Amino acid sequence: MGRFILTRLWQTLITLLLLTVLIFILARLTGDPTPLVMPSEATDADRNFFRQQYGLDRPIHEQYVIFLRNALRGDFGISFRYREPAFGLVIAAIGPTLQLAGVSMLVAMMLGLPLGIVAALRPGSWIAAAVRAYASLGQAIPTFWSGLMLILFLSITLPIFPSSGYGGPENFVLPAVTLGFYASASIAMLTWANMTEALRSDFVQMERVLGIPPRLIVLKHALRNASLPIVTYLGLQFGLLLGGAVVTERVFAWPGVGQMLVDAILNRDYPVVQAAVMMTAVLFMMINLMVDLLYAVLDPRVSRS
Amino acid sequence: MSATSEGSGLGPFRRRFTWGRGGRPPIVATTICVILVIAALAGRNFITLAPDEVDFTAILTPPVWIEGGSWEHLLGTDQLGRDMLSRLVAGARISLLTACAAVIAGGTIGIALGLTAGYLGGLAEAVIMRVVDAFLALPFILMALAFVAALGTGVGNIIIVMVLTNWARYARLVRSEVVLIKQRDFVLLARVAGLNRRAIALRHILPNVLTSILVLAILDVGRAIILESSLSFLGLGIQPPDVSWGLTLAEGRTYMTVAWWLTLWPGVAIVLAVMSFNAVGEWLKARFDPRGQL
Amino acid sequence: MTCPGVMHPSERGKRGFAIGRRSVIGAGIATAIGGTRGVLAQGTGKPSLTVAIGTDATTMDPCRIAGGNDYFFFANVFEGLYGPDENGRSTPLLAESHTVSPDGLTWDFTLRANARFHNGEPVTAEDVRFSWQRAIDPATRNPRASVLVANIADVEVLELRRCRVKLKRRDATFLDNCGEYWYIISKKHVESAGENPFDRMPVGTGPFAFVERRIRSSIKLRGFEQHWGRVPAFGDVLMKIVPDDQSRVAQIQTGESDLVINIPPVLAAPLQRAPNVQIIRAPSFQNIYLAINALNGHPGLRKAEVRRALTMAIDRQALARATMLGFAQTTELLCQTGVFGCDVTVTPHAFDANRARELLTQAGFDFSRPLRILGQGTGRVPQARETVQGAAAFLNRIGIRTEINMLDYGAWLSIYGGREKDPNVDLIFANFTDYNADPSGRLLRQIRSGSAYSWYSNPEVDAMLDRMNDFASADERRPFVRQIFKRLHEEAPLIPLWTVDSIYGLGRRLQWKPTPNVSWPVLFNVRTA
Repeated sequence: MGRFILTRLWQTLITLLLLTVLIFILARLTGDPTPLVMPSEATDADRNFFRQQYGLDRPIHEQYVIFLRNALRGDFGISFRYREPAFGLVIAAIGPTLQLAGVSMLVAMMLGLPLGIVAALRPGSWIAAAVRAYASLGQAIPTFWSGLMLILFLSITLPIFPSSGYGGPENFVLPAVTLGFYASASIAMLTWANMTEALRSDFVQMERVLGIPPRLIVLKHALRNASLPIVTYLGLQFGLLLGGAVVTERVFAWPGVGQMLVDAILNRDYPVVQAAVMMTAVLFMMINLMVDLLYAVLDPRVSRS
Repeated sequence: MSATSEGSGLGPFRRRFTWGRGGRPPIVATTICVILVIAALAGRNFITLAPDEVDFTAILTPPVWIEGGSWEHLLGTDQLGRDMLSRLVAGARISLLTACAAVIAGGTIGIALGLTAGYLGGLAEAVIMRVVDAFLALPFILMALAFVAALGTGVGNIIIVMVLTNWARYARLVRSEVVLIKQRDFVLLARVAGLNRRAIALRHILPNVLTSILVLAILDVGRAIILESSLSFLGLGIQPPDVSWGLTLAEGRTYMTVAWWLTLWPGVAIVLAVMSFNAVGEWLKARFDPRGQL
Repeated sequence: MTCPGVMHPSERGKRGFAIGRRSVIGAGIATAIGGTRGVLAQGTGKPSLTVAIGTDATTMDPCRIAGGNDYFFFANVFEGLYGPDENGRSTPLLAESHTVSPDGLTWDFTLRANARFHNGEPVTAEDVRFSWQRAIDPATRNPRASVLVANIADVEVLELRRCRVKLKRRDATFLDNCGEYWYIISKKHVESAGENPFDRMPVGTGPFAFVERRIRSSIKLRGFEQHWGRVPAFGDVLMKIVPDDQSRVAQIQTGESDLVINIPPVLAAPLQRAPNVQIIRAPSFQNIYLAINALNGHPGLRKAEVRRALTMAIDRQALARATMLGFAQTTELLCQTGVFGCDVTVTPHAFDANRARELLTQAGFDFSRPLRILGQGTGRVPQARETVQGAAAFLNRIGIRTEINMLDYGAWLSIYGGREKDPNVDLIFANFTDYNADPSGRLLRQIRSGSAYSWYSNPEVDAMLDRMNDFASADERRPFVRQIFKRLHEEAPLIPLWTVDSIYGLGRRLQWKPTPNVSWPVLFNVRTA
């Protein structure tokens, strides 16, 4: 087990290094930040000074080395747009995003897991049909549309929840439901598929024949067998919520890292792009690592292989 | 596909797991899918009005059954007087094309690499999985935005962006399944029987991972359509003069309270398409799922 | 009682978010990150005001302003010697009066006796001198120094509240530009606050003082009770940053905000019937036009008659009605009512598709080669996509083929404002916002050869533009500027479409007349009904 963890840590580090190259190139693909940072009145000298100041006039490999060296010390440079350390900006934005992702994940699991299990237990019933319809709808409705609908009905027509912004627990309701509904659909489908498979397995069939109470079969054995892909998927889903909540963050003016990233890309703010991606990536990989460890606990064969 | 031949022996479970009664295919969903595919492939031959024909005298005409509507524009017109029906038909082409192309290309790459990694193990696995991890850790929107910002917003670029963002998920899922399956008795038996590695991977392991892949791929078609519309929402999806459902929905959304038909029709098209593909996919899955024989 | 310059320790803890670590870089730009807290009078007992804006300010330093959106902050917190009055005309702000020498080179200003900085210090001639020195100091790296302050030869302190500004060259725009290009800052504050003083604590003289900022989330201001004249009716003012148009409009519908800035016409139209919202519109100086690549695009575009014909081919009225729903004023000239020298009578290039086609044929226009139109896929201009598609449709109607390329704002800007003009672009959808009624801002940046947004070159026009500001008297200058506008109408270096109205949503309990022609409202005159 110890060796397994070490291997995974080592792998994570290599992935991170790979990621720095990827993100460094991606950021620079988007184009020159100078016209966006400097007003049209700026002279050529001003523009050149800006490029020098941020090292953009150096050869690209040199820029990368400087970036990597500083990043290792936790220094991601100064935002072109806000002239503040990019790291601080991202740290400030990552809190709201994590909170929203966490609450949404909770909503999604509370909706998705039971629906998936129930549907698997009663194939062909109206419940299964309803769950299928729910999952299809959840996957089919774009989040910006459902978000706007929620605002329309639950904060304009019926002023129950605030339409946007970040602050108290009431601010979480609409964005978390928007995101949670979307994520719950795929969780329900996956739970359903894996539960069905687990229920069909020789092992569960055998238990059924042996007369072990169905509730025990479902909860102890089938669920455990089905949980492996589900856990993987939950990890992935959480990562998607981290990076993919961009649209929801925009609709609800959520000051999270997703919105910051979009702004940063549109503004060619390389330091913020790099810092934001590295931070979400590190978080995401930590989650992945935990998923893998859980995997190992749930299925001992993995760590042996 | 090799899975097809193995799925011919149908057990009692299949009946219980299908959408239509008695194992019949889901007629409605299939019909919708066929219509959509026809619309996507040959739709331009059926519509009389060009989807980008601007008419300033017919701006925001409501659908025909509403007061002020006209038979010329069955589903109404948009903010520039363009015919909504024509735009929906034209939009089907790009929306479905981008989605399917992205899923097929991304899925193929992902399966190939996932299978290789899971079955071969060792250095190949290490390399592939590190790249997979790196891609998975990159937020989708970053890659999409960065590429769009760098390359521009053509249909081809949108497909490339989608493939770049989805292949890694297939690879990861396939690999995780393969790691489990290759410990199973029948694989071990095949190995003992002296089958070569490629044969084992393709004939014995691949069919067994297809269930999960199919679920993921089916949901992915819908996901790709939604992603395209989300990019459009951020202003970086398909761009005029091309037409897609996502673009129509995103451009119409500011008119939501003035002219509901601008958002309702593309919205309905997206929801119907995704739901139909899901239903058909689920049915296919039940029919050809090799483990459905148990 | 206020305690200027001192941050109460307990207030630090209340900052929006704690920052774990601060990264320090060689340049030494170590600043308070995210939440910066100011100083201010507590408990004025006045009501609070919540305003929803679309974009965050990029800086709090008046010598580092990068673009128009920054002025939502600066116009409320800082002031120049002169600035816009409630009708948008230039009026004395920190100055009380001025005299100017006959040659237009020496300006004597008398400052208001009761003008104060937010830290309580009075505004003196020494501060005016210091504001100029800091603005032109190469170390400050003020990217907009070229417009105004670089032309100042010296600022002499005559008395405590009297100073003399000497210009290098005559500049007819001097007074108008004093508002946005030369904010007066406190010498004492800058000298005591160390490096980057404004990032920590922006001290100005405006009707609102800075309290706190959360980057990309909100800016908190407070009404400045000691202001020389424009004392606001509000205590706390919270500027919320809500980028999405629909979400921002929802803010006023739900009552979460009292005032919403930049409402797109499409969303404003239905709101006019809403019971709890007032839709207020004001004329602005935000111009929408199609720039024409007369340098290296489609060869036909180098002919003035072709450019005029293109202008005639587009029904600007119909396009404005369709896309802007009446919230825009179409323009014939390269200026609009209110701009200095714009009162010219010309024969309009009125919409006439047949005539346009005829003129193009006469001019030997190559119809087989399509016009490539560059559009904005993202950005803050309302209905930018519809406008481009509509304009293209009009061109298609007279047999011109078009290829539209919509790019995100950054990519668009790097082409539109690029040093080398892209030969693969023929028409460019563009917007340009003037800061005041003086026409030189737009003309020198959009028309003058070699300037950032100019896709046109004509030595005669350039010569006129170079002389445009070399006047001491407005009466002498006016006929000259009129002549320029007349000439440009014939030359048609771009197709003017319209000037958009500024649209605001205001809660029913408030009363407000936004300053016309100013795109970033000063909120001192918002009142409770």
